[in-house]
Parts: sequence; structure tokens; C-alpha cells
Amino acid sequence: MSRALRLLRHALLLAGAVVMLAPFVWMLLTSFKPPTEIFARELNWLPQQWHAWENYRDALTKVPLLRYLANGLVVCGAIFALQVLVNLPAAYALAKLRFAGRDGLFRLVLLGLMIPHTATAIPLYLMLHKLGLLDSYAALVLPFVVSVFGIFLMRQFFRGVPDELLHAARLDGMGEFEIVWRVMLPAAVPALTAFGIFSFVWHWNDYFWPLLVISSPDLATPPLGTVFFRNEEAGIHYRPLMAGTVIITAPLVVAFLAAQNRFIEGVTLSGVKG
Amino acid sequence: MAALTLRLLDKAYGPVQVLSRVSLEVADGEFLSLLGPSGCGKSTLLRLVAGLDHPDAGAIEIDGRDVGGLAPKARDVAMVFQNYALYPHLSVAGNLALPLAMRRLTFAQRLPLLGRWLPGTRKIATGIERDVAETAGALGIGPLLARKPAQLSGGQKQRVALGRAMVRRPRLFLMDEPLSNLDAHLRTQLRGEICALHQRLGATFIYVTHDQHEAMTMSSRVAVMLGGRLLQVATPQEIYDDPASLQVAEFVGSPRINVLPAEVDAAGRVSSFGVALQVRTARHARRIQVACRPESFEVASAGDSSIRATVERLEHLGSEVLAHVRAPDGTPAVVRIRSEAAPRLRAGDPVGLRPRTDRVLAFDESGARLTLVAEAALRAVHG
Amino acid sequence: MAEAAITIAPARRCAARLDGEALAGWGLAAPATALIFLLVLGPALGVLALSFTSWQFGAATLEWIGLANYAELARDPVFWKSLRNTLVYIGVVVPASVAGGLAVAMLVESDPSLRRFYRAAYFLPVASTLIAMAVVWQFLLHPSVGLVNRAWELLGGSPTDWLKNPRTALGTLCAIGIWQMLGLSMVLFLAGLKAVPGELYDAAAIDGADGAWERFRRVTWPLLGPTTLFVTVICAIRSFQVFDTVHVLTRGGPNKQTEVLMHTIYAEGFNFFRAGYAAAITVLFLAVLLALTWLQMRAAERRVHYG
Repeated sequence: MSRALRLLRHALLLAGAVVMLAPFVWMLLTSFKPPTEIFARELNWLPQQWHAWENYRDALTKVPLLRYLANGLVVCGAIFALQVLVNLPAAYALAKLRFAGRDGLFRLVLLGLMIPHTATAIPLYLMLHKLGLLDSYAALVLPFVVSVFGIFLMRQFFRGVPDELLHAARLDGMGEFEIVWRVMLPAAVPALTAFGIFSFVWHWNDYFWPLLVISSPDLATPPLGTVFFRNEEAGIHYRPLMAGTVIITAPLVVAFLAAQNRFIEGVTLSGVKG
Repeated sequence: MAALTLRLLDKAYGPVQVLSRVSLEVADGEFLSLLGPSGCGKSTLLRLVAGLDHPDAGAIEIDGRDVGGLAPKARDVAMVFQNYALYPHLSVAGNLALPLAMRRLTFAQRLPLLGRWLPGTRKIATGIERDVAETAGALGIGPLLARKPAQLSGGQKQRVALGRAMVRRPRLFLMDEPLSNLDAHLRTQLRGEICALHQRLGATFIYVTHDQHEAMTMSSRVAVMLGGRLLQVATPQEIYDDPASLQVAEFVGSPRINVLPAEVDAAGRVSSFGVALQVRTARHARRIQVACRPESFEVASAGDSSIRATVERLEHLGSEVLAHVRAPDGTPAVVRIRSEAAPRLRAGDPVGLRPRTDRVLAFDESGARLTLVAEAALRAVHG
Repeated sequence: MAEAAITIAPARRCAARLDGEALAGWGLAAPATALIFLLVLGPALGVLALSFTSWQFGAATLEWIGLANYAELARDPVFWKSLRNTLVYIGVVVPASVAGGLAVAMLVESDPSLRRFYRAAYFLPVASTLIAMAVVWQFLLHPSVGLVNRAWELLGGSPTDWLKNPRTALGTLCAIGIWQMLGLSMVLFLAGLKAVPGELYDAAAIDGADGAWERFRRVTWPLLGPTTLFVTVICAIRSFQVFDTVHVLTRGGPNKQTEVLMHTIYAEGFNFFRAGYAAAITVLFLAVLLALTWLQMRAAERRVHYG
């Protein structure tokens, strides 16, 4: 590629990249600035005075930010663990075992794939209300334990696993239940990793459901917690707010930069799901 | 005027020197095979001729014209690819028509909706249709014109690829291992069709392959390439009988040529395993290698004038026997013996081998060819 | 006698094996099956049923009113405004994200320098927490201290309250939507571009199509056809469900200028507690999504079987 074209390519891509990254950069820089600079007339990129310590301290003390992050970890971790427990055996059964009604069950899974979470929100809310489970970790975790997308994905993957592996395991005396955990699970690690990232990121970023079922700040996940924080701040104290969003956004950003390929693979699976 | 002349072409990708000082002349209307193992640079050479890539040094002339800076479409060459490279979204007719459309219609005339209404487009399009139909008929793919590539078998796809190359009637056809994706039966069939095509079109064909059988049976000349260099360019029979180096000798011929260690005494007489081979060479007092094709041994019972070998195992092919033997130092060799000549040969038997003086070849330690003169011939000359 | 014993025994063992397999199959699939009915299919049917009632959250009785909710929807100006806004949002965000993603993907793919950096930069908005970034955007769009207005002033414009101005609110949300989705479109197109066989470009060059435009038109664009359809449907599905930015930044205002379907469902169901009415909107919402998802699955199939 000629030098001129290469330069043009860089110019165009950089212009776009600036727009893409500007919010992140500005968020970070603002979190370092003292109050006077936020409202100053001139536009200053870099902080003239370093006010970071105060901003971050304010952010962490005004609302339990770290608690929100911890909630996110607990909830997403629990969801993924339960998803593996419930969906992996079903995917194996659909992929490798023959039994009456198997095709019907798979059609059910396909049907379920077309129904988004928002469509089922109202009845699920009612169910949780009846069970007295609103405003609890259970409310955040239970509705997502079955993941038709997870079943679909893992079934696809399992179909590619050679049958001989299972024959060998059966000859070795393993029952079907053992086969799932001792043979299929290790074989499925790549697909599970991608699904894990997809599930984790999706539920970490989910705002709608926690908004519906959670009212105590103690149980807020990161998105909900951010909004609590923003509402507290009443729009004047932007620095701690920006510091807060840096803290909230940091885990995903760091995870992304650390394992770009895996991350992209996982999140674009959601492209398949929609 | 030669159809294609290559002069001292060099090409490197990063640290790897893929082509070194390659020079070649291809005559008009010739069928030349570029033969070599994977990675020897033959596909790269083809890409340079097509204009898909540019050499680091050297010149390429097509019909006497230096095509150095020219784009592929200006070079009047056509190429058939290993994986067919058919446009999956176009029908067979569309695939065949595209090269003609790109050349005969202007940019405006090619525009999707508007082009049709421009003056002259109609006439040219009809001409294109006619040429497409003619080519399709010649290759027997007329009934397939409306289908898409995904609906075709491997053999049909390759015929369409050939058609796309043919439809422009170029002077030079480049083929990059076009048959290696097909099964054995189809390969044989299409080989014959390609040869027939060559006869009928009278164009120059350059055919890249790693299959020596293909190269030997299809071409008027074979160019053997190894490690980015052209080792020998000659007719198939010459390559077989008169290889330029040990590498060439070992690459062509199945089963492989047998290589035995040999010595040259002060007078130039060559002997192997203590047995005089009745030939002489110019080098004196050196260790060399002699090579002999499986069918070029005289087989006798073990005696003074033949190399003692032990039979390891026999393959009975009906008309002949392939004897896998071991020379006295353990070197393996394969010998073709006519079945009636050795009816009671068994594994473990000793056998005497004499390389035929008119067929034996000699190479020095590096593999370079050495001239041999039969002693009988010398005697005839010197009395 | 012995032979008969031999021939019977395998058949019995076979039947036992099959029964065992069926038992194992259902056993392993049972929890998931039960939960699918309980958490997915059941609620979906429940929403349908609810839409035919006038039930409100906390009401003791359930009254069957047939299609009255739907009739009310047909007369409800908020619903129509919401529908219109959602369609406008899709109409702006989807083409821009798809075209933008394709353009960026082609630029990134055309040369190896700094590829990883660009890919990361454009994908970062997709990977980050939208709510948090929405809050950042709120700050950026602040009428006096926001970066956007400062830049706008430098370019000669007058500062606007982008999110509160009825004429710019929806457009601003669209811009944020594009910002967040372009990276996803880009990554899907990058995968699609990699799948185009290099040999086809060679063949096209020999056929005479070697300029950038011809290469795009004859090879890149046709082979990206299935991918383009796929990306478009994905973006449409996501855009159709836009909620987070609306709820956090504008609450559907000013004057319902940014009211979108999912926000209407939320407002009717959880602010006004009209569960039956919200269910009716959800049913329509679901119908459109079913159609789009079906399209997406067909588009995904075509990606695999093309050529």
C-alpha cells in the first residue's frame, strides 16, 4: 500500500477512533480535576491541579461503589455457574443421546431463542413477587438460570465431539451423568469460555431487570448502582461522579484489553443471539 | 519469438528467498509443466507471470514485450486456480461472461441499471452471450449455464474455471495445480480434456503441479524446480534419462532411482562395492555416487562381476517383480525383474546386480552430474 | 437351543440400552426443560393472556376484557409516538452502524499497521457498561460545561441542551446508539472479510477487475451479502430494544420526543401499574421481535452455506 494511501487510512481511522475514545478519555481526565477546572471557561484537556485522591475518595464514600462491583461479581458468577449446571447436561442429551421427544425438545429450545427477556418480564416479576423473592439476590439470578442460547450453543459444539470418545467412556464404565462432567465439560472449554464471557458481560451490563426487581442500594449491580450514584449527585458534583464511573467501567475495560480476542468472540456470540 | 521469456527473476518474502535467478524460455504453443514439491516457488513464479505480484529483480517478457509494470488485465493471460475461484454469487454464465464484460464494456456500460440503456451495450452484450455459449458448448457445460457454483460438482466447477480462462482466447494459459482437489478418476479424465484443449486452441500452456506423473504425461517440456531454483528444463524423457542433478533424478521416476556409493581410482575407473562398473569418469581418486533406475540393472546370480545384495521382500505385480534389496552396506535398493527371469526368487536370497553401463548415472558428493564413458566405447576408439 | 438363546439376548440388551438412554436423556434434560416452561414459555403465554385483561398490579381481581387493551392502544397517541420514535431510531442507527462498521472494517483490514489498536478503540464502547457511559455522555452533553458544546462552539455553533431540546433529543440518543453499536458491526464485518477467499481477488484481477471500486463491487460486496444481512438484523434487534439510554438520560422526554416502545412498556407496567395494558404492548413488541429473530436465524444459516 502506498505511503499516501496508508496515511489517509490512518487519518480516517484516527478521526473515528478519537470520537470512540473521547468519552473514556474525558471521563478519566475529569476524575483527576479539581472543582474549579470543571466549570472553567477555557477548555483544558489535562488537569492543572491534581485532585484525583479527593475525587475518588468522595466517590467511594458517598455510595458503596465497591459493593456494587462485588454484587456484580456475585450475581454474574452465580448465574454462570448455575447455567453450566442446568444447561450443559441438557445440551449433551440433545446432541448425543437418542430418546423419544428429543426433536420436540429441540424445537422448544429454538422457540425459546426467539423470546427476549423483556417479553417475559411482567409475569416473571409477578412470580417473584408471589414467592416473596423481590429485592434479593435470588431475583437477580433465578430467572436467568436456564439459557436457551447456552443450550443451543453447547449442543452445536457437542455435535462436533467424536462419538468414539463417548463409546470409550462407556466402555470404561462411566454413566451418562459422569460423562457430562468428566468428558464433555473438559472438551467444551473453548465454547464454554466464549459463552462465559458472553453471559458475564451481558448480565453485568443488564440494567432493565435489576431496575425492576431491586430497590435496596445494597443489592444494586454496577449499572443500577451507577444510576443511584448519579441521582445522589444531583448533577453538580461531576468529579466524584466521573471517578465513580471510572471505577465501575474499569473491570470490563481491563478485562477487554487483557484478552481482546476472547472478549470479542464472547460478545459477538451475542450477535448470534441478538 | 518465444511466447514467454523470464530473465533472472528473484523474489523474496521477508527473510525467505522464494525464487533465485530463474530464467526460462517458453516457445509459442508449448505445453510446459512446472514441476516441484510444495514450497519450491512454482506458484509464486506463476503469480509473477500473471502480474499478481512483482519480482524483486529480473524481467518478464510476453510475446517479446516487457510486461514489467503491467497490471494482470493488460497482459492477456488467463489463470485457472486450484480452488477454482469462481464467483459464488454469479451463475455459470455470469462467471464466463465477466472477463468479456470487463474488457468489452466501458465503465458506464457496466453500471448495474443504467448501463443497459446506453447505446451499443445491447450489441456487445449479445456478442458476449454468443461467446459464452460457444465456450460452454466446447466444454460440455451448456446445460449448466443457469446454475450457481454451489450447485456444481468438483469436476464441473473445474470445467467452468477452464471456460472462464478460455472465453477470452488469451495467448497464455496459466494453471496452478488445477486438478489436485479432484479424485483420482476425475483427475485422469480432466487431464485428457486439458491436453485435448491445448491441441485445439494452440495456445501456450504453463501448468504447475507437484505430481510428476501429470507433468510427464501432459507436457512437451518439463521445468523442474526445487528451493526456488530451476534445476532442469527438458522433455520428459530427457529429464528421466538424462537428469541434470541427483535432486532431479530422485524427484522424477517411481519407484525412486537407486543411489549407491562408488569410488574412482587414479585411472578414472568407477567401481562400487568392489565391483568394477566398466565405466570411467574424468575425476580421479574420489568418492562419488552412482545412480541406477530400478529397471536398469542386469540381474545375475552372485558372482565377481556383480554387486552382492540380499532380497528383503518381493512385490509381485504379475508381469514383473519389484525386489526390495539391501546392498552389502545396508543401502536399500529397488530392482524391477521380469517374472520369468527369476521364478524362484525368495526373501533372504542373495542376488547379483550389475548396473547397465549405458544407463548408469554418476554424481559427485554434492549431487552434480558427472560424465561417464563406457569402457567398451573407449576401447572402440582407442583400439 | 443354544443358538436361540444367543439370538434373543442381544435384542433384550438392545432394548434395555435404549430405555436406559431415554432415561438418561430425559434425566439430564429435565431441569432445563422444566425451567424453559417455567421461565420462558410459560411467561410468554402469560403475557399474551394478561393482555386480554384489565389487571393492575396489586388488584385483587382479574377481569377479562378481550381486545379492549388493543383497541385503546390504537387510540393512544403516546403509543403511536413511541412506535414512531422507535422506528425513527432504528431507521437512523441501523444504516449508520452497518455502513460505518463496514467502512471501518474495510479500512482496518486493508493494512496491517495498528490493526489491533483500531479494533480495540472501536470495540471499546461495545464492551463497556452502557449505563456508566451514558452517565458520562450526560456530562459530555451538559449545556455549559460539556465537551460537546465546547467543541460545537469552536466550530461556530451555539451551545444547546442536546438532551432537553425537543428537536435534538432523539437525534442525540441516536448518535449515542451509533457510538455504541458501530464496533459490534465492525467486528462482525471483520470476520466476514476474512472469510472472502484471496483467490477470488486474484481471479478478478486477471479478469480485469483490479481497481478498488471494481474489487469491492465484484468480490467484496457480493461475498459480504449474507454477512451484511446478518449484521443489519442484529443491529435492528438491538435497536428495537433500546431502553437504557432513554431511561437514564431523558425518561422519554422532553414531551415524549424520545419515548420508545420498551420505555413505554416499562412506564405503563411499572410506573402506572397497568399490567394488562403493558402486556398488550409487550405482545406487539414480541411479535415484531419474533419476526426479526426468525430473519436473523435465516440470515445466519445463509452465512454458513454460501458458496
